Amino acid sequence: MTTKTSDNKDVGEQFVRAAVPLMKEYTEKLEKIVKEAESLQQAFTKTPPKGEHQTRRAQEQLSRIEERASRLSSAVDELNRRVSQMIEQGQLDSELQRVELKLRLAELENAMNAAQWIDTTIPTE
Amino acid sequence: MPDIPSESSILRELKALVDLISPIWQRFTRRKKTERDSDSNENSQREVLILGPGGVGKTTFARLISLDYDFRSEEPGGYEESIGIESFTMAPDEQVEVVVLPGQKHRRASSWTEVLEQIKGGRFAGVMLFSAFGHHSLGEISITSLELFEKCGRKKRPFLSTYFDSKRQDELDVLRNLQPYLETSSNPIWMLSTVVKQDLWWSDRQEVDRHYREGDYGKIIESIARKRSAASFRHEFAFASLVIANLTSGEDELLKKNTAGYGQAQQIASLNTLCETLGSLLEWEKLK
Repeated sequence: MTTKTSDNKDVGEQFVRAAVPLMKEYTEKLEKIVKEAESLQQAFTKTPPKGEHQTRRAQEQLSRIEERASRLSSAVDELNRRVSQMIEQGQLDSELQRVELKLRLAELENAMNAAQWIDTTIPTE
Repeated sequence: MPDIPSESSILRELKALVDLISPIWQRFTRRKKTERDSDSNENSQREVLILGPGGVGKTTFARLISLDYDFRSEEPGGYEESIGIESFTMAPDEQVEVVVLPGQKHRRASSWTEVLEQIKGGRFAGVMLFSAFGHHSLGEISITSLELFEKCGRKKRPFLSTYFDSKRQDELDVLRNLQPYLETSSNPIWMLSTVVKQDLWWSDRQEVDRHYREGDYGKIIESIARKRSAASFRHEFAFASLVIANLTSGEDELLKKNTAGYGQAQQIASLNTLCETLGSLLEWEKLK
């Protein structure tokens, strides 16, 4: 570990303290969105919507979920890139912090990836 | 030459680049189409793999050749780190697929191994290995947050010297990582060592040339070539500038100005050489 000057003290610590809760929060949110979509898909598979009205409503429900994921993607990508740069070459207090960021980043990117592939097709009878 | 091109010069660059690149690719792709049409049983086109450390312009290049780069709306030299493996098709006839691997060290273990293994199996016609004589763009981070900046006493000059050295080492590490796959590829394969950001190191171009051709980099290439026959491995160098821009951090801190006197004429000439070299390698592979 390097000796730090006083004005640069805790740069890594501050970053980790800010980034990790954000990453946890958005990983959970994205996973929840994916689960909601999967539950809806399962429900529609079990009982396919009947008629034009039901099908349209089902489609709207899935599209709304997809839209929620889509709205997050740009900011989540930015967060991912900032964390990635810290992992790659940032000044952190310990290698354990770097490992923690790597793990959190992998979880967040997995969740984002799953959210980008939400299936919005409606099962038909 | 001003450090930052004005909007009108950016637009001129756009037009010049599109004018330059489109006919070159049209020429190659038209020829390919004729060949493909004459042999309907031909297997699908093999792909081109682009790899290298982060911040060396791999995705920018892939976007340029797929005509997906808009100089009017994009910040020249701006760096947006690629998170995963990306695919592009070379414009305009969409016959050559390009696969770009993310360059950050911590992404290599999870995303590189499987793709590199496919070099052995012949998935790729060729590999473009990107380097920048250590002038790798910093992503969304300030230099004040860098471990290396702290190690260099928070002084910019020693930091930059050490930063460029460490990034050149990383370029060698990537080549060493690639080496065994190129040596054991089951098919003929070409490699194009693409050294970009010429506008940043133009005044040191003789040193750059020596570094890649005669230094450890060149020795590794020679070693690969010795293990393969001339008919099954071909290597070329191309030195180029994809965009003319100062090297800055993601927080807009100026790290190095582009070289005074390096202008559009040199850039266009470098891109022409790069495209011609790439085209000739694709043709070489086609004849195998």
